[in-house]
Amino acid sequence: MDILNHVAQSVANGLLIGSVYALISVGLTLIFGVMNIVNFAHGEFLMVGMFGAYFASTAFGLDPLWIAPLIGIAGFLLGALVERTIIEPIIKAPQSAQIIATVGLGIILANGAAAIFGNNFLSVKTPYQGETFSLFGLHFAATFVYAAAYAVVMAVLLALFLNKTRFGKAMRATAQNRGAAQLLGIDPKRMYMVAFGLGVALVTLAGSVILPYTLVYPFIGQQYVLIMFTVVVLGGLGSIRGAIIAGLVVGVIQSLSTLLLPSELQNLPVFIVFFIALVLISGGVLSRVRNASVKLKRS
Amino acid sequence: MGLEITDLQSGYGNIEVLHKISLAVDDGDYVAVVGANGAGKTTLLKSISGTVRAKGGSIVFNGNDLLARPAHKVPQLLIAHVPEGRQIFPELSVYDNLMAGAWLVKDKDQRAQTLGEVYDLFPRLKERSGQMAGTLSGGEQQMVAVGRALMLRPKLIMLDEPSQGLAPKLVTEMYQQLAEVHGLGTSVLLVEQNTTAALKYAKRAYVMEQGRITMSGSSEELRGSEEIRKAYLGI
Amino acid sequence: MFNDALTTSKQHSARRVAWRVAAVGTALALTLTGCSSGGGDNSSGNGSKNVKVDEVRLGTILPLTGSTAQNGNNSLHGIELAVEQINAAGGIKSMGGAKIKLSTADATSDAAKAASAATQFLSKGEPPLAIVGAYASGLTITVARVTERAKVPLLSTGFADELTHQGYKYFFQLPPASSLMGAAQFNYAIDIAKDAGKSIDKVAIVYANNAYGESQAKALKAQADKAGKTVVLNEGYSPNITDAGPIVSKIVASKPDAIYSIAYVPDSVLLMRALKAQGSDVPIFGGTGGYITPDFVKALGDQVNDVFSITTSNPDGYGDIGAAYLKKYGEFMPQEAHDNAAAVYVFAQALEEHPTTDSTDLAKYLHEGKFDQGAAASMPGGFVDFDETGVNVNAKPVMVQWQNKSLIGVWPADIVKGKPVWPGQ
Repeated sequence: MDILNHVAQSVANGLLIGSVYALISVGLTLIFGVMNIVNFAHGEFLMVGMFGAYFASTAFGLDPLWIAPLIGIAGFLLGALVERTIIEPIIKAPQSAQIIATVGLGIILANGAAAIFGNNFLSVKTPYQGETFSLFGLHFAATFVYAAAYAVVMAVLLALFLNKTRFGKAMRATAQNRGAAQLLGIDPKRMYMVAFGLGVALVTLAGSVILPYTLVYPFIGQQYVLIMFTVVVLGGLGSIRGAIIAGLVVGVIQSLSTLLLPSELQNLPVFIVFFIALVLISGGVLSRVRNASVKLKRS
Repeated sequence: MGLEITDLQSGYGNIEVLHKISLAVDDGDYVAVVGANGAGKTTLLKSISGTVRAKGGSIVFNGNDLLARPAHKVPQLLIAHVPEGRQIFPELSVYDNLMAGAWLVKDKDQRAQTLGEVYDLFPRLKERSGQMAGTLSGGEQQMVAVGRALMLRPKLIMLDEPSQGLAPKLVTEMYQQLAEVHGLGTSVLLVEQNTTAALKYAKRAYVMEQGRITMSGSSEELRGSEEIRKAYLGI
Repeated sequence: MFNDALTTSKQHSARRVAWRVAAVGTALALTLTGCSSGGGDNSSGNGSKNVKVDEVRLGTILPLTGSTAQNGNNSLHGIELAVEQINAAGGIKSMGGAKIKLSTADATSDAAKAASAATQFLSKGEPPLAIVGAYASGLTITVARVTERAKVPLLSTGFADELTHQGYKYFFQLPPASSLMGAAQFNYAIDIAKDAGKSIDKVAIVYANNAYGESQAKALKAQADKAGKTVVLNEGYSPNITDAGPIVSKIVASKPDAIYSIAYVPDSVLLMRALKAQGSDVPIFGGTGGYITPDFVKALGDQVNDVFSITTSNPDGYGDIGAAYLKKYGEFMPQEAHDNAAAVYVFAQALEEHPTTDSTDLAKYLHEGKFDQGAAASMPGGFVDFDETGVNVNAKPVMVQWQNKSLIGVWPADIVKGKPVWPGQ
């Protein structure tokens, strides 16, 4: 009974953290799906969102959870601006140039943050940080429950946007066939700007949402980037639904593995699953990249 | 009025494919451009829709200079382009594919009405409206591609090899449907390797060889031409 | 934005050459006067008691970027403050008032990069007389290899035992080694519990699985075994964790009487939050790292109260330099800033008492002397004294406790003023 309870608790914890993984990763897959650009600065945009939330919340005395939508909007504008100025010129450039550009952007963001904000570990204090919810004998930290709730809401909103709105469908059309979309009067540049903006909006909002349970410093993006890429590749590059499922899977595997394995090995099973998926199922990451036409499936 | 192309030079990179081509599609016209593979027919349509940048000459549609427009602004003049190989959105439903064609149509009622007309023209698409377009047969995908272009209610529809890959029966069907569209007042500019079909349905035709127009006239005249019969109709 | 040695050296190479010409000129002049006055000293270096120069070069290699950047920057602040103070007080008086000229290299938070930064640092231009660094033990290990080869003394505030087990002649460790820290962290806690009428029988040990965490955890485990206590959990985790929930679940499930934790800032805060969320009120004994930083209290506020940590020097005994630091940087002087400042004072005092421009000569004297100036005096025991392996034999760990959001030295009673408060009493 005790064992069963432990397993149930671990699965529940895994689902909570997994939904956060999905939220921080989904923007990366969206950007890749629409634009065929791998945004290596995605982790740094998470950091930017966290800093934004930290300063906004300390300045106005508001909870990061309330500020999150505003951070998302600001993130959208930032993303759109970055797309126009940095990404747009390299959209047709060789992949190596794109990698250099986004990796460079990440380095600039992280070091810029270090220069401006200093190498401090900043965090917010909220009244619910020590609270837990109990349900069926399981316990859930309030901070994680709220973050996961946000992730679910954002996943639903994103799905509605992509599947139900004209704009969202046009974005998916652009992802699937840029040339054909253009022939219908859809401006690909505008779609790219919006897609990049949305990707950054999602991850900056995520930064705001996770701030209550963690803390921010200029190089925190690096801690998350491995998880982001695992989730996105495991889910199938460019697949929104895949990223959401993969986020949950990674969270649960990680959480369950700590029952059996030392905590220091918590990522090992994730990488094993990832590797198996890569080699056996999808036929390797490269074929996935090449097979870029399978993008933005029904999410 | 209509489409007027004068001395058009176009190509890819440094390679010129079209050498000073001139042709016209009048209002309500039905024009076919026929010629062998590699003659430059696809480049011609791409130059009109702006996906290939012209290097010289002019393309004017109802008084608007097309060369001054980026590709995504050409459809604003109600020019629709059904590209070679259909180019549907495989992971969108048939319905969503068609609606993507009405991206520039801001009036919801008009979209609904046009959709009804397209469904009338292609009842098959109505049956399959919820299906992923990528799972359709080749003939059905061609219907999606044409239907999607029609959702704009274009004044001019350009089709690139609409009969490609279709069974003879479906080719006939497709051309009959196109005739219906033309009958409703839409100008048609067609490029085809299938000269027999093209000359059967089009009013006028141009013959293109190695990036140049070598003959033009009414379809009837061209069908009667000895040269055409030998080179393209295989008679 | 950062004092990057590479860019600095490029930008200032012209000035550096000018300085070098001036220094060589001065040295030549001194040689001539020395000879003519009949003094036998050879001013080219070794053992010279009559060395007058404009500046003595001190290098520092610290993680200024990456995950331990904050500690690296704090360390740098301490070093810069000490250099300022020493220079303002007239520099190295026995060397003609020579000023300490500090140059800085970023070790990043990656051991491999630290080594290459150190190599470049030492191979470009005139090498510094000594180096202070590299904060984290993992970085220090690789940097020490380079400095040893270059025969440049490395004054270190890293704890790892293996640092002084290499037979290095140019390595000096100011704080107590991990094994001592771990033993003290363990034993002081038992003593504090006893003092409060409590008993610690079952212990949980959790640590970040890097060189520092592992060596300290090993010491804790050894001590627990020796003391016959039950280790109910002995768990390492990646220092890059983003969620401490699973580890804390294990801690709570193991029902310990005390938690020993070796963590940097991010993981210490994550652990504290998760412990609170899971309703744990078990006393926590941290092993320096994050537990004694300004950010720890900033992130957690009142939640820090009652948390213990072992450390290398007593923060409520930092005196003048502690006050100067608070004034300059607006937060209390962190342990790493203090200990690195102490390293600078050791360097300065060694030169003061034994003027030299030769690194080997300096290293020899560092082994011989006792250093009690400035921040070196606020190291436990009041002075720093290196044995032949580079261990500071006078080093003694101190247990501190967060009381009313300030760090108070609470154990052992003979070297601190504060009194421990048992959590929940």
